[in-house]
Amino acid sequence: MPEVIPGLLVEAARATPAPLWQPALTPLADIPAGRQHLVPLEDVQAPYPQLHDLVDEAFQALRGRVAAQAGWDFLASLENAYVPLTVPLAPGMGQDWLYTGRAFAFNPLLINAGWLAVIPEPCGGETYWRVYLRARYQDGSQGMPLHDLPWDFNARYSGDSRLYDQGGSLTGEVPQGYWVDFTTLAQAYGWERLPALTNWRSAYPAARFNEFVQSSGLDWRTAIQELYPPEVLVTPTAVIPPTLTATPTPRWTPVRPTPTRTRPPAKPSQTPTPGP
Amino acid sequence: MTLRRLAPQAIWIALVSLVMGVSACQPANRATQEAPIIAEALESEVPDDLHPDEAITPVVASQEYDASQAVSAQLPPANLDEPLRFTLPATGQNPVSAWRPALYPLPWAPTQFDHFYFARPTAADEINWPLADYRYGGVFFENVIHSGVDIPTPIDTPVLAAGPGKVVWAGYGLYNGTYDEADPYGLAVYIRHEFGYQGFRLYTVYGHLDRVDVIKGQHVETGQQIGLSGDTGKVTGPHLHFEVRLVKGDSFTTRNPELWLVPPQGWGVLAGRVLNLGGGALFGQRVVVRSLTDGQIWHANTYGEGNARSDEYYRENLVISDLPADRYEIEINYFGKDHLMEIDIQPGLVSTFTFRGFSGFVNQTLPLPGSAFEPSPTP
Repeated sequence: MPEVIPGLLVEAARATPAPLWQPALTPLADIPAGRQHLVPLEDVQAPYPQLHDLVDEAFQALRGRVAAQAGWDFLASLENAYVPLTVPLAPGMGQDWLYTGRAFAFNPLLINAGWLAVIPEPCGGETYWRVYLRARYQDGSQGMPLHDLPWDFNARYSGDSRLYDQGGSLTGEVPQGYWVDFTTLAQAYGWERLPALTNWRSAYPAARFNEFVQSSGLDWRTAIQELYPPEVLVTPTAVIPPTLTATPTPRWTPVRPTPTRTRPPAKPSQTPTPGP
Repeated sequence: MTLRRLAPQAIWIALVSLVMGVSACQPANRATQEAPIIAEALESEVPDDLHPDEAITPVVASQEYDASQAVSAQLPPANLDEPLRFTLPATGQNPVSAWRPALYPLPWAPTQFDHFYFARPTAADEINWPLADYRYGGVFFENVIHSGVDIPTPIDTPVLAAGPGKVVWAGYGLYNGTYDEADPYGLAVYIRHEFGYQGFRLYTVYGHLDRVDVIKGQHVETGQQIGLSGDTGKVTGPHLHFEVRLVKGDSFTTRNPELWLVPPQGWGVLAGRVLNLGGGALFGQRVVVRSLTDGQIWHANTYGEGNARSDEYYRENLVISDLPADRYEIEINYFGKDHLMEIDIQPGLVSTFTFRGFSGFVNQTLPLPGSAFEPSPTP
């Protein structure tokens, strides 16, 4: 090990950029050991504008970066940030990352307004999406042209029966103008995209193109236990009813049991005798 | 005559070939019939000057082949019965059937505002679609708004959970929340589902049961039997009352189940906004839908005045589900005048129309939610 660090390495160390964000914990007195808590997101519209204390800085940093590059505050209005366990999501999303406070879902309706484009990216047998935002200034100062065909979810209304099976279709042409790659920006800030659920072609919410997660390497079960005690994760167990009918069924007309009757045979059995 | 013009050798070759061919390829009974003819031909057509050193001699052939004996040895016993004849049905039009295709997969939400999240509460071996005269929003029993749909199930038809969830009520008294044998729902099951819609929790109600097979707190899966249909409660006959509720906090509102039950594959749903000229909803307006292919007719009345709630996006006051994808004619008689409109029902989708009083049908496409969005500037 040389005593003097070579100049190139010193230069490289100086060139290392500062981190894009750093988590800052908000101390609270009544938090159980090993558990984290939620912090509110300022100036964000969402049903529950809160995120996990460890990821809220990453969200705000990403929000500012996107606003600067796209020219509009894309993450000011969310479909969901944190979602309490008592609020049910769409079918098939029972263990969604939104429950952990480590995920957000932007408003998918922006796709109808033409300010959002999503491009499918099949990978490993699953479908991921790359999200592009339309730049506010279309003079070339923001974003870049698109090169791929976005996905049109509303193409099923075209009357073409083939599009039902496909869950839509690629648009006929590449949208003009300049667009900002939101997926790449989010990845730089630690936000990972989620693959679509397998039934996304027949269930719009299952596409999940609008959801981004900062898992920090945790699995869902570990992440949810940073907010909740393990008791809440107890799987609902089927309760076996003690009898077929739990409660006696009252009837307007009482039903009387029918007695069992044993009827004798109509004719006694006869053994045929050989004829004369 | 023809034989005499041929060379004698060729005649013999032809005759022998004919005999051998009959024995090898033709049906046995036909060979027996032709054998005397061959023998007769041999006697009459053999020329007198035929040389015995010829390669093929008719003598050898005729001696080696005894057609009557050889064939008769292989014949089954003579059957003098007349041959059977089969009468097959003639090809014609397909018979009219109540058969329906399988349902779309659950959940079925081809667009962002669809929510076909529930399976049918009765199996496909019985009628499992709503009665036309007892749809959601109808007015019965002293101006009571119907809060669900009625499925005409015979007594003791198995009733199935429309989706996974937890039983939160099983027994009498659902309407008032306490045990009451005079409850209008009769013996009922109430299920809180595991999933929701736009922040609302979804519940389903199964009323007028004859028997309940679950208890409060029990977890059920889609298609699990929860009881048997019956005629308990306020009914005029046996049927299953099925209801969809959206719950937030302590309050709930109902929705038209026909927008929540998965349609059969290739079939669609019609949702209409039947309004007066000022944009107000027309209550109890009769609407007739006729298939332009086979003339089949469906009908429904618009929601009555009361607690019937429309979907947030479709804002409908009339729904007819389970329509095969086809072209239809909608007829509304408004103040004595018939208004007609043709519409395509798309498979698996909700097709919409708007009617505005004396203006009749109007071309009013529902705007996509969020389409008018304008971004806010950077703070």
